[in-house]
Amino acid sequence: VNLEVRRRHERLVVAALLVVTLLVFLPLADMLWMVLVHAVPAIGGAFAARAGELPHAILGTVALVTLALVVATPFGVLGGIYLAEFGRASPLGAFLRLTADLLAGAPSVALGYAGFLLLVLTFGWGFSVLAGGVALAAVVLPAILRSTEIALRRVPEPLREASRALGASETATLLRVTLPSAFSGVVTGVLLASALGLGETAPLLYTAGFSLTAPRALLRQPVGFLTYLVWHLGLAQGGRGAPGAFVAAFLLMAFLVLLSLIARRLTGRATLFAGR
Amino acid sequence: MLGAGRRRMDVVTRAITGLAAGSTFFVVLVTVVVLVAAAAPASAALAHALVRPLQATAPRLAVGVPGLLIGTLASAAIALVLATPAALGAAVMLAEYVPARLAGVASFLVEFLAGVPSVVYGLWGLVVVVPWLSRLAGGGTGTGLLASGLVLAVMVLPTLVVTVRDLLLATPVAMREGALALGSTHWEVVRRIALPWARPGIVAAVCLGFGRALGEAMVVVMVGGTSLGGMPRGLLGGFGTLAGSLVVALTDLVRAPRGVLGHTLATVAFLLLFLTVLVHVPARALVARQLRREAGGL
Repeated sequence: VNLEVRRRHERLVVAALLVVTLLVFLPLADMLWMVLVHAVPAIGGAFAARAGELPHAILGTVALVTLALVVATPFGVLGGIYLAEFGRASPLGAFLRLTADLLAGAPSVALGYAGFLLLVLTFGWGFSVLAGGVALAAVVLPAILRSTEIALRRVPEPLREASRALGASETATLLRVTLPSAFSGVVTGVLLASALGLGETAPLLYTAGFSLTAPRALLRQPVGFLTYLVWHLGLAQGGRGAPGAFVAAFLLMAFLVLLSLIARRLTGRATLFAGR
Repeated sequence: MLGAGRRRMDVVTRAITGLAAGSTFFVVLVTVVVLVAAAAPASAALAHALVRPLQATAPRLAVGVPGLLIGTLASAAIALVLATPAALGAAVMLAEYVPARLAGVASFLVEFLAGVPSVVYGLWGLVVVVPWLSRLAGGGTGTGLLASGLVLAVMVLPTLVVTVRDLLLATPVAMREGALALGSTHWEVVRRIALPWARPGIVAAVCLGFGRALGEAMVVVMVGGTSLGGMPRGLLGGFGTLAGSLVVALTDLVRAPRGVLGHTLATVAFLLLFLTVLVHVPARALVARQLRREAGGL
């Protein structure tokens, strides 16, 4: 086939691809637009609502995500260190990597249900910040673990070799050389985990409960959170969505932008969710 | 002495980090044990439920696993059938044809959208997609499998686009240059070199997207997937999914957590975990193959 025909063919293909790309961006842009249009005029009113559900939900989300990070970060970072430094080629490392990936892909609602049975009922914690935070920790743990592992693996091997050649132990190499060079990557993993935790709904319904109250106690006190407001108020007014739902969605997105900006400052990478 | 102390320190470091790495296995193990223990009393009832809807505390709460399973697979399948070609097209466009600056802006947007919580997609489905489908169908509620599949498709799109774009951008330059030197047009390079090279990774990304769509509860529930067990009735009829049923039954369950409903939902949650494993096994094998390729260059 001659070049002219093939060039014409390419132009047709690119035109078709352009149409497809617009079809991809259209619904996504429409979603952002919907949230903005409904949320911006309603922000003041939503904060002034007498029930105070929005400030409560913000506090609840912050409490739940903070607790989840406090629980998950030590396990995730230390575990990531093991996978990157000691279990890189071992069968045990491969197995633990597999379980981390399975956990990352497990439907969060199933984890939430198990959390309900174990934490809320068997341990008697009730719907509470503690149960929600621990369940959320299980959901975000694999993200911290794998991000830490990947960050450490990016540290060039000669750096470790140089440290060992100077007589440093494995532990000293890790603490003085490897971890400091991977620090921004590790922190990005924690930021990614907060972004994931912020957006979870189903597992929290089963552990933090479903209420509009502010977090007051760690135990036996259901707590409101932003994603619950999106669902709860979204279904209000015959499925047309109460203004508060859009404001909550807007705030979730604002948190996400904030986390992305912090990650960008740290690593120079565009956003948290690149290349996942 | 110093050497011995150091070695002991290293053993401690290995032990502590190794235990921490075991935490994911611990979580998976505890989850499975808890769900299986809770599902066990339902196993006799499950045999029954697999044949016809199980009668729980009230007729409204009849949980039918087969109907939910079909609803789950159908809505996830619709989502991926719609999202895959669209994501491929957009990814090729972003990686190959769009000017760098515009591609940067578009990529930033897509990466941000990959992190937007699923309830927000659900809200969009509820407020925009459902009324639109209702108008399009000339009446009716607009809720159903089609709405669920559409919103799930939009939800998995950003992640798919980003993944495929990164795969295309990682195509070895030497292969591209070779094809260009032989007189290929840009599209022929994409079609014959970049896409085939990225194929295992693309299939893996589609598998993972499928896993995400079938485990998504909020979107499904918000666009009308609130049945607890009936077979899906057409694209615009009532339906339910495994993940969705766990949210739908929430309030009834809290009232009587140890009843038949609780046991059945534990079975449902276990089945969901099992489906995830099924989806992840081929995906992991393909990712491993892609990584070997990337390491090998060609």
